Amino acid sequence: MALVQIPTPTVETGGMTLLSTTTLSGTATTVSNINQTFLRLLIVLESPMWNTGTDKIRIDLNNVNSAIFTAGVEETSSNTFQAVGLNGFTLTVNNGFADRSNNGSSYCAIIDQYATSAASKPVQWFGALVIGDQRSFNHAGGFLSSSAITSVVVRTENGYSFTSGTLKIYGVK
Amino acid sequence: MTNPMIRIHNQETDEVIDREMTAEELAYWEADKAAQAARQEAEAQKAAEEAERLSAKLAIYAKLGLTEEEINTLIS
Repeated sequence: MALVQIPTPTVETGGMTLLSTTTLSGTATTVSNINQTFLRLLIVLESPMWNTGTDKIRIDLNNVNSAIFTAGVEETSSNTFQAVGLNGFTLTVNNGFADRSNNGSSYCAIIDQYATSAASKPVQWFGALVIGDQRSFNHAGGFLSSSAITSVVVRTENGYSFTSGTLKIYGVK
Repeated sequence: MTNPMIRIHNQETDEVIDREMTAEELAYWEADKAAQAARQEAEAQKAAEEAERLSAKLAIYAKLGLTEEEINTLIS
């Protein structure tokens, strides 16, 4: 029997472009006028640290937090997990103030159809906190707004001032 | 008293501005913080009620003469 060569598919889309890199500062850091020409956004938050207090990191889209609905799982102590349902890219687990000196916590969020008028834009938010050991989490859901996402705001829930950390936003085709 | 500082990075122009919140932004910020505090209080209240329910349940099991192992099997 003759062998049949399977044609290699042509890749017509794909690829990721770094749109901006922002050093966190102040009580809130906003990236505005986000490029609207990609299919999805990838938001990477590296080692955010703030000046005082135990708190939780939070990301708002278009300066709105309540329109994000997610369900997920969080590691509340080593190898202990809980199911959670939340409004917003935020967590139920605190990032301890005492642990910030060796903070390697990082977070990643993916937002599909961000530049469209889709009534619900699929989102996923995952990462790991460093709290002595580590706490992993993974939430998924939707941003229930028909407005295109043009800005991303990073803050802590109680509004502490950032001392360091980097926010990178990628556009994905 | 000065308002909290914020950073705004315009992705289109790559311009970064550090400035104080405007009065309008501060009002939104304060309202959001109040809502957040209320949510945290509600969560704490819910957790306390849950702990109270569990404690009452354990007391009843103990009255029935169950061993700790049996109680753990029932509540896990």
